[in-house]
Amino acid sequence: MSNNYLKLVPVLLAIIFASCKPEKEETVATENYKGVIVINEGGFLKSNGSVGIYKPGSGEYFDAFAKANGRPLGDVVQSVTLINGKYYIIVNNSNKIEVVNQSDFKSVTTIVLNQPRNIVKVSANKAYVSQLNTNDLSVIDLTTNEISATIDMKSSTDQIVMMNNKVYVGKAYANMLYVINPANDMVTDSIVVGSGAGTIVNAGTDKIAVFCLGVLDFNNGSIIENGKIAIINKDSNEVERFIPLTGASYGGPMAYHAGNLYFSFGDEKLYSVSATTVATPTVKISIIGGIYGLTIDDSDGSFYITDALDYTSAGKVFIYNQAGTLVKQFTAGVVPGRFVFNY
Amino acid sequence: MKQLLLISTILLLGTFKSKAQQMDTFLLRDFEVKGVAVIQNIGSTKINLSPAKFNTLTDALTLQSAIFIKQYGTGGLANAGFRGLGAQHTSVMWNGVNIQSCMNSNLDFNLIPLFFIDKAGIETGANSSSCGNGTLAGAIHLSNTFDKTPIAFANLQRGSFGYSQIGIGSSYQIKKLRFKTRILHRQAENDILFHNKFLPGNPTEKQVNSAYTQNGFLQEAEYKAGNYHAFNLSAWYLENTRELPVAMGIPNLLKERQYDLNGRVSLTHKFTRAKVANTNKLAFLYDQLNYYNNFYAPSYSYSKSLIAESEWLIPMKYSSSLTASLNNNFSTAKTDGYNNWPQRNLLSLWIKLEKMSFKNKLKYSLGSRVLLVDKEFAPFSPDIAFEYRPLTFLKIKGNAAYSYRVPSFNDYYWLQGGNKNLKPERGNKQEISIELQKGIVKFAFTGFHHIVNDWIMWQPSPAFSYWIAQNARQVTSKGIETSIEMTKTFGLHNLQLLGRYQYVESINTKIYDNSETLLGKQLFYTPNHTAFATVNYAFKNILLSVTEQFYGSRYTTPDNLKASKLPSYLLTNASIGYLFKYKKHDSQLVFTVNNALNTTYQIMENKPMPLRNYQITLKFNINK
Repeated sequence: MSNNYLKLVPVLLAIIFASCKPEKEETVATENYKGVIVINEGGFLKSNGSVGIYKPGSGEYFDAFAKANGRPLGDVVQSVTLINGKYYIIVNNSNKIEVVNQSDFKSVTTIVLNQPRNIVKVSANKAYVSQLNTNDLSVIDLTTNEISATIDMKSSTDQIVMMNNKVYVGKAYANMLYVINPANDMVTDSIVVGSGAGTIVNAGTDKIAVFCLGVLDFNNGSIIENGKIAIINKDSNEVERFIPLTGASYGGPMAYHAGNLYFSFGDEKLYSVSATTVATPTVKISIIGGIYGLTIDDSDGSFYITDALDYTSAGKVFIYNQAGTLVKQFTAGVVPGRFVFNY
Repeated sequence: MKQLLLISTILLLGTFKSKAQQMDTFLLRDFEVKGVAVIQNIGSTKINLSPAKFNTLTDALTLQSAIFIKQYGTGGLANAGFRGLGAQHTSVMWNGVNIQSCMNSNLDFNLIPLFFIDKAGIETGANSSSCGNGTLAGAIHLSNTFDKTPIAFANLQRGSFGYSQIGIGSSYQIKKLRFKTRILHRQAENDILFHNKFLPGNPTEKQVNSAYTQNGFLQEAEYKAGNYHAFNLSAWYLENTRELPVAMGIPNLLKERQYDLNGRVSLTHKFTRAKVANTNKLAFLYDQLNYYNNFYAPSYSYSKSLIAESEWLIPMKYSSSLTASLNNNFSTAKTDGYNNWPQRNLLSLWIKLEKMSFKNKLKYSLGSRVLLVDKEFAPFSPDIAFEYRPLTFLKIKGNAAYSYRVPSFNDYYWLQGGNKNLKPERGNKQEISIELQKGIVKFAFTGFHHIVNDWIMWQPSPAFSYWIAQNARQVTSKGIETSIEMTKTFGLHNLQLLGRYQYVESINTKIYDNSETLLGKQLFYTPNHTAFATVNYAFKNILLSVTEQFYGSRYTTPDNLKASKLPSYLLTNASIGYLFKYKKHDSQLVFTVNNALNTTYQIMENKPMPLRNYQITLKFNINK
């Protein structure tokens, strides 16, 4: 009798373990890497950042880098920049830039450097990379994809744009921009903007706009200083004027399109204000949730707005047309932030 | 309504004296007295752990139950959510005192060395009535005792990744005073090898910044005054220094380190007569956590709790008994995120009536706890339970309870995001079990259903630009637990088989904000299936053991993103040991292979876990 019980044990265990097989992973059929490139930062210290591709026609979405290379990207995917037919994918907290082909997303090389943030091409064979937690701004030789030099910035750097043969680099965690001459890699000027300086954009062909987010009280979240937008003249390197704003936050996006600046303090409202004439910001779009990322598709002026939700789930992307009407929405990766358009 | 319930309870307490005066010949031993048994509650599901066999609470839980432990890498933070609920919903009781942090309602299981524990058990159906605030899913009971203590004992270990342990102890007696002293040192480099999936070809790498050192002592004293009074003092001091490894794909620039200091003292007085048992307890808990990294300023946090409790067990007529307990818990804490030292006082009154009927075949109980949090009453938390043994080999038991968890200090007082408008979490649960024992076979099956309302979560708040603690959702957890155990001795051979399996669905059933995509989703890092099986074989002095652990696939995001789902895994551990005996003394040498099949797995996303590794243990006991 007892032995019969013993015989039952392996049978019971086999049933238990057999019922627990892993599920098959879903795959995406498409092999075409054209579409809207979605930069998903991922959760900080989670190593789940990704770069996805969205097909506006079919609504398909897939993880482009992982699909092409069979491995994940890393921690905090900060930016993707197209340079000389290659995407430079900056993975900030993984201390690297993954360089992939524009056509098939296959890895070309990996550039290892400390806390990269953004990259800009400054000449045919040279690019600058801003970096946190180091005073270096790295110069990349685009023919070899190696660091050819570093520029001592005396501080960490973050946002970076180029206009009028000058490179404007935002000092990280500060209210200042540096101006660099890319011909000799020398810092030539500095510009004081406002507290909480964040996003820097080319506002048309002759102005630089800097979104200053203001100051909040750490203890209770109340506003100590309102945010503002600094408009900088490309020739004088001076702030022409400030656009005063009502509100402040620790983060929020800004983008430029056809004479207007669009920005959000990270709440549910996207504001619009003229970059060229004195005007008061007005609410352009309201979403249910919080606006984390914003990129405007210059081909048709549509707004790509992201909501990072709880920063651990896959974020939402809302596509509004220029009139401010919601056209489509889709689910991307974890903490979607910015977009690159490659149709 | 709350006031009425309080008055009812006070009136019930008012009957205490008159009932006590009518004591009959009811024998106390029929109801296990708290402190002697690890777990005493009627109707709940209990598993006795064997603390002497394992190093940490994490090891004991993973190798003796089917409970999924969330472990952030080897030696890293580890905690468990029983029955698919949160770690904050399982109380951890040491000598009857809840030692979870008042700051975050959590406890790191890797910081509990089982060399300091004599008896341990888990109660997956515990409730707030018996264990107090926060017991929505279960309780872990740890206790110390002088029973069967050798005059000298040691537990020495060496293992892979620079692991070593030296645990030595001694017990001695001076007149009526008995003492037991334990000293512990543990350390490990934890430089485990793992496959780095973020690099082409997934090369093997060595984990860095993962070492830890643990030093501590436990001093106990016992004094018996006459036949009825006993005094116990336990003083626990533990220091932990550990490095915090980063996830795969991240260079170790931050070099995070953590220092924990835990001081715990409990003084217990027990008065036991044939017809009454009284336990009075005074405990002081001190926890300190220092966090360091290479870039940012260090942070320090401190918390202190002073707990006083008096509990009475009174046998009454008709095979019934009354338990009444008054407990006061004063806590205060300080960290960079608080203003000054916020304080909180929890005053609770617990009443439980137990009765046996039908020739002791039926036991049932009715209990309730009334809790006053500073000046506010916590939700009412009654429970009802029964155990019925209609046949000698069959036991049917069940219980139903309301429960609650008051917000932690962080939830309440954190400067940016702490929310003083939070409501306590409110839970209710029902469970029923069948236990069969026939010959050499024991079988148990439990079905359970839990609901937690007003579950507190930290949510990003776009309006405030930071995260805020909110009563965010309702979670419903339901499932089954089953176990089978057989022991067979034939001649000099002894064979023991044990298997456990759990299926749990833990689902967001209500969402109180706009996160509607989370509705109906399984809580992340909550596998549906977990299973465990072990075979122990002994022949003369030789011991062999093989253990299999299975954990089903888990979502790593609240929205159940399939692309981020971690696969299921099966782990095999095996050990061989030899028992030496010389006169009254005994010694044991055990060689263990962990993850014998070299399985690559992750418990938390991108946190590598060790491949095959080894450990050798030498224990000896010198007896009188």
